[in-house]
Amino acid sequence: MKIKLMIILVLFSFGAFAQDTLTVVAVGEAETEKDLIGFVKPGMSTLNAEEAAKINELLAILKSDFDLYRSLFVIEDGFAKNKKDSKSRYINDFSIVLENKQMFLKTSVEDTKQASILLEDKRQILFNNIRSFAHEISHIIYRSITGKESIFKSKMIFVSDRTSRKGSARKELYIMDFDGARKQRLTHLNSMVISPSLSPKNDKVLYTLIETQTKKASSGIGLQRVKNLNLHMMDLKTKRSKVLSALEGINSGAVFSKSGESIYLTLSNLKNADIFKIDLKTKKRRRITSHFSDDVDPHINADETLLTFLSGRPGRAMIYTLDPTGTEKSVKRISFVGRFNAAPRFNPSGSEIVFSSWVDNRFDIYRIDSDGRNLVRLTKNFGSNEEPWYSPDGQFIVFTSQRVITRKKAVQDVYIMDRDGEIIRKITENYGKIYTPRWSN
Amino acid sequence: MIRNYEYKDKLNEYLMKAVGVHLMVVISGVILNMVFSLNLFSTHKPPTNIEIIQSAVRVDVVGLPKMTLQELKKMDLQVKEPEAPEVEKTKNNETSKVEFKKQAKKVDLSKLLKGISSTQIKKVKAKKVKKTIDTTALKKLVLEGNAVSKGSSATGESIEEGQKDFVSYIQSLPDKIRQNWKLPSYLIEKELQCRVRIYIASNGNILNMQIIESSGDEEYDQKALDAVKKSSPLPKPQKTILSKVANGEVILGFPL
Repeated sequence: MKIKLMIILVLFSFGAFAQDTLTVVAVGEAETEKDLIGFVKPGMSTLNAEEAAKINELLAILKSDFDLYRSLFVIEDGFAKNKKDSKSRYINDFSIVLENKQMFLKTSVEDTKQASILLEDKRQILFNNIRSFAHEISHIIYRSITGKESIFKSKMIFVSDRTSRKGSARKELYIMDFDGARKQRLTHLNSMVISPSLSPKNDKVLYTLIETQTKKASSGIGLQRVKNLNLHMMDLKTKRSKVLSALEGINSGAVFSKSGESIYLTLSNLKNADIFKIDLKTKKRRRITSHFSDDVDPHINADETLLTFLSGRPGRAMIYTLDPTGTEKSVKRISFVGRFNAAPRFNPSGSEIVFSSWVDNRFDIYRIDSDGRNLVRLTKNFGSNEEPWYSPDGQFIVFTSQRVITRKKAVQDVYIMDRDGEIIRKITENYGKIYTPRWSN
Repeated sequence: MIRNYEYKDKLNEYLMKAVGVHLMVVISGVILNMVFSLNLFSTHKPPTNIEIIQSAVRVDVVGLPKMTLQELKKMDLQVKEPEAPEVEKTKNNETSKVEFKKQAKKVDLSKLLKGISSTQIKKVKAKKVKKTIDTTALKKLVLEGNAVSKGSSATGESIEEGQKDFVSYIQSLPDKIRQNWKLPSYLIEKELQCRVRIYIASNGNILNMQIIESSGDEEYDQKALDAVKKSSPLPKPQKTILSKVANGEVILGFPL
């Protein structure tokens, strides 16, 4: 009996002080909860019909702008008459005041959950430029809520063939707002413009022009006319262009470095295409890739520590990265699949690369981490999708999508999707076939 | 002989006293332990003996993914629930006692003793499985065209036979809970972390839950508890692992 009692006691003691083994399982990252955002319509009794129409346009633009960030916000239906009518977390209250014969818009943003005023702003209404004014208001509201810069003031450049004539294909350079509004033609070259790119300050554009040059015939007797791809740079203020590189062969696919003081481009003057860096001040060239296969389409990350490009080294066009401080330094293959990959582009932080790949007789867009991990597909059953490019905040991707109408006719327009592949909207329509959209910085 | 009896009587008396004192010490220890586990003097200190279980995968990419990220997001992430152990309805009153509160249940000695006996069973440790790609990445990579296989000895230590059901079960929980795990952007940016201990009934209902490691932000902690609450019932645990899950051996990490 006593022995039994002792055994029970010992077991009981062990049990009492035994430590639990607990097992932790990671739930993972949370999804972003969307917040309701509402807009209060200002009183417009002091406005004439034209001014009232402009204010209505402004309000519509605000809603359209915030609709882009649908991963963060849900927009409250209609417009509230006053703040009390709104059920939103973020209430944007507007009023129009007349001072010294000038109209001002007062904007107030309230976070009802935190019971705090996030923004109080007053500025003169630019009735003659209501779109820019509206995007500016959207921008300050967005910044007051998120603390981040928006894309509402950004622009895009692109190439369109809308001026092509029968037997004479033409591609010219254009610029537009991020939402597709206010398109403006930049070049009148009656030629073929390809692969444009904006400078970090958005004041210069690099583009390649297919030009016909006269050179000595290969037989050594007489002259012959040959086509060459020359690199030009346009000043967006003056709209004047100058030739930056016109070496024999390809001078194309140029992108600016983050500082804007140098460019990375493809040159083929040494017979096969390789990537070079050119200092814009000294014009000095430095070779970045040196391989018997063609290396094209460079894109540089923000701090210039990593360059991604397309290479035919494995026999098919695959995506590579390297350290651009040397030649053929730390070359790493990123993509291992796909029949043909194209246009690799970094996001602004340089953490991921978006690219297009030929699959099932069309191009689709994929995203991969810069170290080659986490390959995901972003588009499918949505025409042929090419030329992806990140928005300056890294939240969106602009790309072209082609729809075949008949055997001889196809349309190609610009679309925006978020970085997870949710198609947000089409931003061009009936503006010719559009190529190579590039988002401003 | 008389001397011998006297000696035995004294020994008996001494033994009984020793047993009595020992019992008192043990019971006081248990009570103190329970009091501290109730967080009456909360320091938000997590239990020291914690094993972390995460998926291990070996990925052989043989082609481009056929499914888009949007399609994968829309996929029903729920795993097949293991068959429920047969429970006599009359005896099982767990469903009626479902409580959602931050603190542990009330203590009574009989429950406490039950807890002690089950703690003894829990001494078999779950082997840690090394992680090569996180569970989110796994979801991203579960694509036609990409051959994705659950890692085994190739990527981590092997799991003891008895632990397989338990590990398999708890690995199924994040898929269910992640559907309700949502934060406003300003909380996501703070990159916080909290851990929640959960007690699961045989029918998958959550009996109780408590924050064992706070993020320091009340709203964040509450969002984590809400995610668990909304996910109830969880997949039904197998009979063999019921004692583990019902006794709160599972901790959910938000996000890790």
